[in-house]
Amino acid sequence: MSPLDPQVPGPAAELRELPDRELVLRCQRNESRAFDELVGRHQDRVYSAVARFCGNAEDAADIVQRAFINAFRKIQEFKGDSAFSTWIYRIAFNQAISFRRENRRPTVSIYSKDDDKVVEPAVESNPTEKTESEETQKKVQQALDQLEEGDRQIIVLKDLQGHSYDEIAEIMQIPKGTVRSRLHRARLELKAKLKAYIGTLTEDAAS
Amino acid sequence: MNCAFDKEKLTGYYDGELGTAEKAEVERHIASCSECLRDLGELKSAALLVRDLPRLRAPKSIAEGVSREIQAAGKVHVFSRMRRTVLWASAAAAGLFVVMNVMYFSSKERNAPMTEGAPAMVRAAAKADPMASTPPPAPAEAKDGRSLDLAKSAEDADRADVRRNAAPPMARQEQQPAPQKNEELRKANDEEPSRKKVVAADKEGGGAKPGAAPVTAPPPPPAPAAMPEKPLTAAPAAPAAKAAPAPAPAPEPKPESKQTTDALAEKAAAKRELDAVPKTEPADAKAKLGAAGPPPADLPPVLCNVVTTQLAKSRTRVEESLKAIGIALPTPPPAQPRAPRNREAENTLVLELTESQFIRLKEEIEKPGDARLVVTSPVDPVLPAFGRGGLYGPKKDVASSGAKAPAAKEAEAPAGGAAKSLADQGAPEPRRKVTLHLVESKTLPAADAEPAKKQ
Repeated sequence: MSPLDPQVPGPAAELRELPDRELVLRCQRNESRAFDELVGRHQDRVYSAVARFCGNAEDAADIVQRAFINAFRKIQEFKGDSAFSTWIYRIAFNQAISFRRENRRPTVSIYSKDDDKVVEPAVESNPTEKTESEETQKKVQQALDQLEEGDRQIIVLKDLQGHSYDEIAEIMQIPKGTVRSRLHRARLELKAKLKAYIGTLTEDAAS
Repeated sequence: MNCAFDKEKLTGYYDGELGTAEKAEVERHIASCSECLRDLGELKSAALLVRDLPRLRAPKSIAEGVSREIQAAGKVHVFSRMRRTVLWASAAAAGLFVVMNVMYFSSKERNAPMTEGAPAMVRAAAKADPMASTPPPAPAEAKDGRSLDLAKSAEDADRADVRRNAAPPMARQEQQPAPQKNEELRKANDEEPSRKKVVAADKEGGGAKPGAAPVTAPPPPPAPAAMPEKPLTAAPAAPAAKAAPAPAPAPEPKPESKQTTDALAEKAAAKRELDAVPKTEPADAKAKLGAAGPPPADLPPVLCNVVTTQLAKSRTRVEESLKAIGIALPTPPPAQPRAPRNREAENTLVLELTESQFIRLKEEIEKPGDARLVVTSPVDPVLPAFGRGGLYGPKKDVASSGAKAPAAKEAEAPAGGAAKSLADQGAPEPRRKVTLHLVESKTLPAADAEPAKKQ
């Protein structure tokens, strides 16, 4: 059974115990169930990152699905030099960048009243605070959408996903020293766009 | 606001990505620099705002779509594997088929030349080494014994010829008639291909015999090569073949030990037939212009002129007349390359005619009334009448010279008349060599009475 949906038959239990490296090896031996396990492990994080990057939930679903399918087709080429997550992120973001360049359309807010889409609520608060929180999140999302692709990507990977500089360098295929400078610049840009809120948060962050 | 500190280290410091030394440096600096401290705070706030964005759950469609695609790819993978296997198997089968066909046809080609050329091979082998004791190579179809029999008889005949020609001491007593015998044998050898044809045809006609099986479809012997040298004998080769079954002893079964004697007997019989045939030759026998040797004519040769007012008409007239009486026009000799044109030879025809044929030819030529056939003497008075230029010189009166012709004709008339009386009696008519010169004249000589009537 799938950990996400009991109704959907999922991979076998023993596969859940296996690390990503072993699952990849099984995939390369044409064990399709192993790849199903990999999809289940990484689809939420990849989808969340791509959704924040694209600013569009529907596009993100298509992009992530294509990314996993491409990863399955190229699974024989994966040598294990990096983590599977790094590899799938790279594929997904490349797919997202190509998709955004080919399909320039208005960003549909990923915020809806459907709470099922949210895996981890950002803040547990009362309804008033929740409304303010949602407003803040929208502003932040809007500010992210205004950043350049590279700045946006690095912000999402670092600040949203929590990847290390090494992982970011591998995903974005840039030198590690470049990650810090790009991230610093991106944060300065984002801060400028969120000036109205930074002042208040700065006081909170500083404390 | 003009702090020169590397602000990027602040980001690294916030993210915990600095080494120990750099980290200590940043901590010392921000302890004393309010600007950098404020910048560090702003960077943290921005990062925290993004970090606090809610995580999103992936829709079910992603996993389902990926799973569906994996299953479809798996089926395609299996199918492509099967298809690959099928393709390889088909390619292998096709290759095997091609190889087998090549082997089959190459073996067929190897066997075919031996079958068709077996008698030729045998003759060549026999002529090259007639005294060889080894038998000739067996043809591919020896299993029915047909070509093997023919090959053996050919070899034995050749051996007999060689031994005979070697002239043992005992045979020197017959030195006088030997040339004749040799001539006969030579003729017999020359006619051997046609004899073989006769034997083959006879065997075909004679039905199946245990000893000498009928030969089916032997290769055509090189008889045509020998035919032009003996026009009289070559033409009746076919009739001889037809007449062969009756007199030829070929149908009789021959034990192998008697083949040499029988072969000689066959040769002699064939020669007798061929010599007898000219008396019953059909009307379409051909006489060659300028043949190697003049055929034996019973009557002395005669020279004639076919006189017309237009030289171009005369040849056509002669051809039509010959066709009307059933005589084929003799074929001219092949033109020599780079040789000057021989107009006289072009306007001269040599025929072998009986007296009756000659008379009919004259009638046909003179029937329209614009041509005359004039018999002349061996020293043709007509041609000198044309002067130095021969046919194309100044023309003199032909009539006066033509008056001499009847005298020559009259001299020959008795012989012709005798011939005609013989013809009347039903006996074969003697023939004569008739040379026709085609000449042109402004006036035609007077029409001559029939030679027979002048007798």
